This record gives sequence, structure tokens and C-alpha cells, in this order.
Amino acid sequence: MRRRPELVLWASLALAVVVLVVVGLATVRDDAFTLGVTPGVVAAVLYPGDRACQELIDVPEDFSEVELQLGTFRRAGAPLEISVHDRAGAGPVLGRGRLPGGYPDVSRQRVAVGEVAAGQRVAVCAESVGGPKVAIYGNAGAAAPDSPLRLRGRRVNRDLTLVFYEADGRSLIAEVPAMFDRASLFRAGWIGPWTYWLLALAAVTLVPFALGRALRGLSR
Amino acid sequence: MPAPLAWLLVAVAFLGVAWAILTPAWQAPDENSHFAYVQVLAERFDLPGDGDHPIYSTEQARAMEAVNADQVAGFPETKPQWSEEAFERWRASGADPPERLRADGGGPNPAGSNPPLYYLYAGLGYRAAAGGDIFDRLLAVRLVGLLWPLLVTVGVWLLAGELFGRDRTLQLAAAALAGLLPMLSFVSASINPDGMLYATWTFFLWLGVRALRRGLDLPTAAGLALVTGVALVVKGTSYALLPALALVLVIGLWRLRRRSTARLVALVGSVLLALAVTVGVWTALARSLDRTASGQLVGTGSDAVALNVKQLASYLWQFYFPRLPSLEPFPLSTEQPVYDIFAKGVWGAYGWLEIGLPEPLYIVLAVLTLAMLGAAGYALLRSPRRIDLPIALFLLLVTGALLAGLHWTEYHYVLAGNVNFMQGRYLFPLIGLGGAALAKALTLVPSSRRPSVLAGVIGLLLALQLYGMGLVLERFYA
Repeated sequence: MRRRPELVLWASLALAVVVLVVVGLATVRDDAFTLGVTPGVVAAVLYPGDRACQELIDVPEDFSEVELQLGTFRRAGAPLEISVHDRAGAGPVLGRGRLPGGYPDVSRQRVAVGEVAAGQRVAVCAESVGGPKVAIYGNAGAAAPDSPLRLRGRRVNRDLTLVFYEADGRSLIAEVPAMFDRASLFRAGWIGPWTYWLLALAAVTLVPFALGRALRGLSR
Repeated sequence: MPAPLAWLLVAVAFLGVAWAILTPAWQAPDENSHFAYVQVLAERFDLPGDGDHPIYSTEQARAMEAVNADQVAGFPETKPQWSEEAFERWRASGADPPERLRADGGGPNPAGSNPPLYYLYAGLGYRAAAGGDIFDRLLAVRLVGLLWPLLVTVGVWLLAGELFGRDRTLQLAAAALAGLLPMLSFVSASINPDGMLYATWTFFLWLGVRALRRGLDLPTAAGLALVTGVALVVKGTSYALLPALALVLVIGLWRLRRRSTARLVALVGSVLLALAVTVGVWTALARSLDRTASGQLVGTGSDAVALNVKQLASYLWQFYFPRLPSLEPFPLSTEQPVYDIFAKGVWGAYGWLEIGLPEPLYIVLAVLTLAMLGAAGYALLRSPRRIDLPIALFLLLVTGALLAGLHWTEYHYVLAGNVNFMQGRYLFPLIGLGGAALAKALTLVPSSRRPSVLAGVIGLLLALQLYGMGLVLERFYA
């Protein structure tokens, strides 16, 4: 029974890994990416006919829905036309969708715009097509410095809070390779996706091995 | 080195490296400010606080902007930049700035009130990677900081050895809790003086117990004072060590009162010398630079609020217990601070604290913690005659002084209109006592079964480590 503590350790770890894998398979996410702007202030107020375009947005993943945080000034929300363009609001249309009116104040609304492929820069425009004024939340212009916001055609020092979603959700486990790819950017030069694969492998082999040896050392 | 400790250190080191690599740049508490402090010290050999400079260098500001660090910090709904095009744009324009853009920070910095010792040490990592870009240097600084959790682990092993004798199972239990606690690994693997603070406090606990148990000899006295002095030059929190240091010296010298005067003088001299070469040098240097030696204790300056003892007592009650109807509500940031801040903060609040564990898991871990502390208390009281009163007093004094300092600060901080001072990680200087409590609780288990129970505890800690890393990966990159 000298090895019993090691068996307990490995059994605990195996149980933990199984639980993590099951949770990872059961957790399905459909968010593709965000502009990375927190909803701290009202970034734009649209009256009927007004249009706000967040331009030069990098698209690292395919998406088919766009989410905005909207304020309605305590009334039923006005309908919005949401369009996706190549690079700027004046560019060719890549996708389009409509948000019906009637949504509540300070709420997040998702709009299907059709499939937009990764690897390009786009503009997302919101246009009020009638009804009362609408506030779109976002933050100061420094929040997304590479992506300007234009309101009624003029550049304003604000950015919109935008979240992009895929058509089909993926389990967390299926997304692990993509997560490792993303986590290898803005890192020390020698770090790549391989580093995370190696760390994950070592975490479930080297670490329990070392701890098992520590426990085995108690019986000597 | 005993094999169990050596293998434990291998695991602690690996987990530290994993956290250092995994955590996105500037996504640990105050890491942006601490990095700015390291950078100005390493680039210009200057301290932050010059009002003519911005807090961050141009290089750091551009990199933080490129990776979207400010918008991501504390807000789970925003993600760091992960577009390859954006990364390539940053590489083309900001990855290799002229040296002056690395060194033009150093303005008033929230971390600037900390003494410079940790930052000087961290600067070694920065300089070692000076040829790389800012992310190379940031990782290098994190990696050199991994010395501290290793020293914490060794220190807790030694402390348990003093408290329980040469019992490898109990020593491993105590050291494993300290070395494998996920939140401690996470904090220690970020750029933050707290890791060094935990190490100095852990060695202080060990040397204090050693001095009280074996008698005050010259190396122990000098070591204890040296560790205290170093801790004081790491963070002002360490002034809480001074009452316990005084206690050890008074008891130690009292016990030696019949020894030769020369020996007593040598002991006192070594203590004074150790304090002089550490905190003494820094205090003199700070004065010559017209700086304070450490951040002023909140509530003692010109903005101090008049002390209201009844209100202070009410605040303390409301921190630990549900508010009684007779008590005026104190504006704390949460309804159950002891649980929401201490329990959750100790067991896992990653990133800028926004990444938490599921609520049921927190409850289970809080119950396990209470059970462990209860079992340790029961084991202690089962044989009250074996309690060493001076050691108990010493440990209570260290604990009480830390908590008193934290609560005094928070009380005044909140009254000044601020929120969110207290953090679970502020308890980690006492991690040695946490490890000792686990070891003591383990003494209730028959000796033959202790290794298996310990294996279960280690398995749980390792599982929490993996889960914590998974949560961080999901929060930032899913």
C-alpha cells in the first residue's frame, strides 16, 4: 500500500480532468469576438434618419450577428437598420439586418446580419429608421483607437460597444485550439500555440508526477 | 533537501511558469502600475512620482492600447485584442521603439508609495530581457518573481518543522497548501510586490517560532531582524511585524538575562545592524530624495477622520457577521465581506478579480476551510498543556497586527468615500499559518492514513489550479 497516496492523487486528478472535459463539452459559446469597448457612456444618440458607423474593425473570426447595448430613454426602443460594410460606412455592403422596435431601455440587442468572413476590416453601421431617439452605449475614443466612429458622417471621439457572434455555437473544448492561437499574440516572442499545448500536457503529467514523488518520499 | 520538498518545489515552479505565461499582459491586479515602476527603475534608475512625466512610458501606453488592456481590465464582456492584423500593425509600428520612449514614464503612480526593493529585484528580469520587446520583458519580470512562491513553500516547510517537529507528512501538508493554492500562484506569477511580501512574512514566522522554541541566538536574531527589514522595504504592510519582532526580542533577551553582557550586546547589535542596512538605508535615502519611506497609513494624515470607536466596532462586526438591526449600516462594498472578500479572494478571483469560481464551489471551499480551521482548533485544544504560550502569543500578534492594519485602513478608506480596499490576497502573508492549520488538522487522522488524506488535499488543490487556468483562458480567449 505504499503507493496508495499516489493512487489517490492520480484518481483525484483524473476525476478533475473528466469533470473539466465534460463541462468544456457542455459549455457551448457562440461569441466570436468583441471590439473590446466597455459600455461606460452613451457614445451616440440617433434620431430618425441618423446613422452611426464604427469603422475599420478587424474581423479575426467569422460572424453573423452583432450585439449593441441600447438605451431608449424609458420608452419602447425604435427600430434600427444594422449594416456591415467593407472598411468604412461608405464601402460595399457585406451584411445587413434589422432590429424591430419595442425593446426595453438599457438592454443588449443582437441582430442577425448574414455571414461575414474573417480576415478583413469592416464597418458596422446603425441607422434609426423611425420612432424615438436611441442611445448606443460605448466608451471614449481611446477605447478602440484603430477604429473610428462616425456619427452623421462626422468623426466623433467615442467608440461603440460591439460584440460579434457566430451562427453556430461551439463547445469550449472545440474552441481550445483557437484559444491557444489567440493567447499566443501580444506575448513574449518565443511563445506560440505550441507553448500552451505543452503546458497543458505537462500540467496533467509532469505536475502530478512530481507531487506523486513528493508523496512517495514520505514513506522512505 | 528532503525529497518531498524538492518534488513539491518542482510542481510549484511549473505551476508558476504556467500562470506567468497564461495570464495576459496587465490582466492581474495593478500589474500596469507595477510594471511602470519596474520600467522607470530599470531604464532610468529613477523612482516614479515625477509630475512632469506620464505614469506609463510611451512604449507601455502603446502596447496597452494595442492589446486593449484598459478596456479589458475588470470587465468580463470585453476581450483583449486577438486580431493577427492588429498584432502585425503593432509589431510594425510599436514593437521596437527608440530607447527614449521606453524611459519617458515615471509619473505619479499608484504603486509609487511602495518602497523600491521588489522593483529593484524585478528590474533584474527586465534588464535580462532588455533586447526583447515589451512583452518579452514583462514575461521575464514575471518569471524572476517565481523565486518568491518557492521561498514561501520552503519557509512554510521550515515553519511546520518548528511547530510539529521533523514530521515529513505534516511539513508536506503545510508547504503544499502554500505552494499549490491557486490564487497565491496567480498573484506570485504576476508583477506585484506581494509575492516577495509573502516570502518575507513566511520566513519571519519561521524565525520567530524558532527563536521562541530554541532560544534567541545570534544568527536567528539577525535573520529575524533582516527579514523584518527586508519586508519593510518591500511594502508598508510589514510595519505590522514590528510588535511581534519586539515580543520575540523581549522574551528572547529575558531568557538570556543571566548570560554575559557581551553576548546580549552582540545580539542587540546584530538586530540593529540588520534593521539599519535594510529599512534604515531606505529611510535615509527616501529622506534625501524628499520622499516618504512608505505609503502613509491611511487615516493618519491631514485627511484623517476623527476616530469613532463605536462606528469602528460596528464596521468590524459588519465585516465578519450579519448586521444587527441596532447597527447603523456601514457602507461596505458587499453584504457579506468576510465571505465575498476573504473566502472568495483566497480561493480564486483571477484577472482584476472579475474571474470567479461558481458560487456553489465557493461555498464548498468556504465550508472546507471552516472545517479545517475547526479541526485544527480542536486538535490544539485537545492537549492544551502542549500549547507553547509565547509561540501562541507571537502568532496571534502577527495575525492580529495584520488584520488590525487592514481593517484600520479600510475603515478610513471607506469613510473617505472610497470602496473596495480589502482583498483576499492581503491575507496571504499569513499563508504559513494556513499551512500549519492544515497540518494540525491532519493530526486528527491516524498516522497511517495521513499520506492518503494529504494526497486527496493535494489532488483538490491541483484540480483547482487547472480549473482556475481554464477559467482564465475562457474569460480572455473564448
